[in-house]
Amino acid sequence: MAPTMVAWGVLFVSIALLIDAILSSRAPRASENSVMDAQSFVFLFKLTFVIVIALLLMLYSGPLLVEFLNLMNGESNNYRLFKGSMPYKYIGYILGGFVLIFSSIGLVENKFSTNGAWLSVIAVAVLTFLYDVPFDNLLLPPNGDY
Amino acid sequence: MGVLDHIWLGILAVFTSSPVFSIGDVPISITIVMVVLGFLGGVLVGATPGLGGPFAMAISLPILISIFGFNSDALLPVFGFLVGIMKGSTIGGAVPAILFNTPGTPDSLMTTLDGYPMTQRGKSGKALRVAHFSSVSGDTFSDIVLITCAPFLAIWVEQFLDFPEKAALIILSLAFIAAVVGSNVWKGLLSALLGMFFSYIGTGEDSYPRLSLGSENIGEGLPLISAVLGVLIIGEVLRALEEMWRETQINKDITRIQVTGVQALQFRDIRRIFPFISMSAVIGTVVGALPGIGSTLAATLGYATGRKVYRGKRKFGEGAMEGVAATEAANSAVAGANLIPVLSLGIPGNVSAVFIILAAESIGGFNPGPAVFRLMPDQINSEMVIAFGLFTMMVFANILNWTFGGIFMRWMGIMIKIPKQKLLPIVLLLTLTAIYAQQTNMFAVYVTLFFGLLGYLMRKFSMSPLPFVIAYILANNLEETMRQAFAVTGSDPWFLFASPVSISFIVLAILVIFFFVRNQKDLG
Repeated sequence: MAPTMVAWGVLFVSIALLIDAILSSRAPRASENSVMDAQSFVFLFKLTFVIVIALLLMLYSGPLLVEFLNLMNGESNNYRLFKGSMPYKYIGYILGGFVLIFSSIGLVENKFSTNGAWLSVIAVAVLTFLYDVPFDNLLLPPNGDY
Repeated sequence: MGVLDHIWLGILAVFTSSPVFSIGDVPISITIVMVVLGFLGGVLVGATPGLGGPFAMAISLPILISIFGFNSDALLPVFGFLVGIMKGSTIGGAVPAILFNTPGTPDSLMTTLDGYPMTQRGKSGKALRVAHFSSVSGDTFSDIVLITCAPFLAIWVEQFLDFPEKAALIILSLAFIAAVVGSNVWKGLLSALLGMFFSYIGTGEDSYPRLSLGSENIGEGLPLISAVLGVLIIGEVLRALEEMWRETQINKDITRIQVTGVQALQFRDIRRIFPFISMSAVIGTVVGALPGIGSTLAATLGYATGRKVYRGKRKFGEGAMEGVAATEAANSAVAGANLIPVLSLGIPGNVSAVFIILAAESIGGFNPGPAVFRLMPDQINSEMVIAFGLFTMMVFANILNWTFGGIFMRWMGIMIKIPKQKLLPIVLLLTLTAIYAQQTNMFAVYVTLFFGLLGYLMRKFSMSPLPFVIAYILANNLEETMRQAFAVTGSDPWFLFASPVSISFIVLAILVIFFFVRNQKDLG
């Protein structure tokens, strides 16, 4: 019953907002940056692309490496066996994290710089050290999912 | 066990439990170490433009929980770190505002008006000292009000409010937060209602979870930390990244300004700024005690009031130290008072309070609300001990602020050199990693990104995310209280109108909405 009542509330408030917008002919007071325009969609599209690529790398780099080694050595291991050992447990996080930071910086600055690449490497290394090395009970993404 | 016994146990818990090292013969407890570390981190993030206390709290919470675990012994060290961040970031925010005309935190915006002109006149050292003195004075006053008022308010609530009245009080608080936060009451209400709607996903008393769309992951409910960090942190990161993406790169060289004249804060300076600090401390405390209003409005009100009563030669806005004092005392006085609704009613009033509740919910063993201050004959109320431990840590953090805060604050001018466009992508990865470390599930990361997008859109449409987050936290509590109220009134569907107190709360909620909608029309 609670979600239904809240949904009715959302409908009522949305209608009130609509009426308020129609009745008040004043121009929007929001600043230019708080307006959703075509530029916002372009930015969102680009950033979504970066995030999706980064997450795909994070999720699948480790398993793909294991599959590649299987092909090379004729074995049939799976990633679950290796997710706690070096370098498998870091590869997804480091690759995905690097792409996320480096590409986001490149997107915002409109250029990909060596400076940005070094900063991304250092940031990912520091985060890996911060979350994984001191704590046995913490897992870096995506190791908990395998 | 009396109140004094609980106060003493709270102090002992902070200073003596789990010592990590000794200075001479004095053992130093882990809680004290965490307050100091949080305080240093708070000054650091406060002084970094684009970051702030909430960022540091969000990122550190999963690490803290991993270190200390999910037991009640973890509460004080974790709270200690969060309190340290809260206190440190309030003084840190003034540093870039004064030195570089860039507010470190939104509530330091007004500090730039007089702080930066003082720097341009070569008085940066004095401006920083005025900001520090005013900030710590306002914060200390606010803490005194918190410590003396919260327990009495909680006892009053516990004695006089039954389930129907408590449900009506939560409705009043949500209506108030929705009405006062942001530029439009309807948008505030929509934000709160959306928060409630999302919090009901995967909950309920039926044999199947509500609104799960058949998904097992959604059926388990959306993780609280994903919703909070997504809307508050990721949403803000996305907005700020877009803003920078839109801007063409402007490379301004920082003009080196020579420091001239006396930089120390003299007694006559204190006499000049004291009336402004006093006024702003009261304004900040009153504003802070009301849920949802926040420190930015307190700073604006403090500055405006100070300007009205100011009779000096140098005008406000041209480098008057009274302007810095009025702003800093007001925005810092909000910090302590904001915990009054948390501890006495269980209602978070601002983002820092949200993280205190988030920590309490994650760890367990402490449920902020009126029951915290309930006295039990011949028995220790461990929650009350924790609450007095929290007060002790706030006092200790204030002592740190008075003694070392000014020195750390002046060191932090270097943080302005960190470019925001490089920092925010790191914050994005850091937040996602923090979520994963706590939830160990990529689903939580996807939920965080979804809420991040929602938070971004809310900001684009000038809708404050704060009512969303507070409603998300309170929605299940409200539903539970209403269920209990319905049961204790013998299934009376009109239980909200069963007593004069609950009727007055509901009428007040309607009046608050009506008043602010009308006010908004007048302004428009």
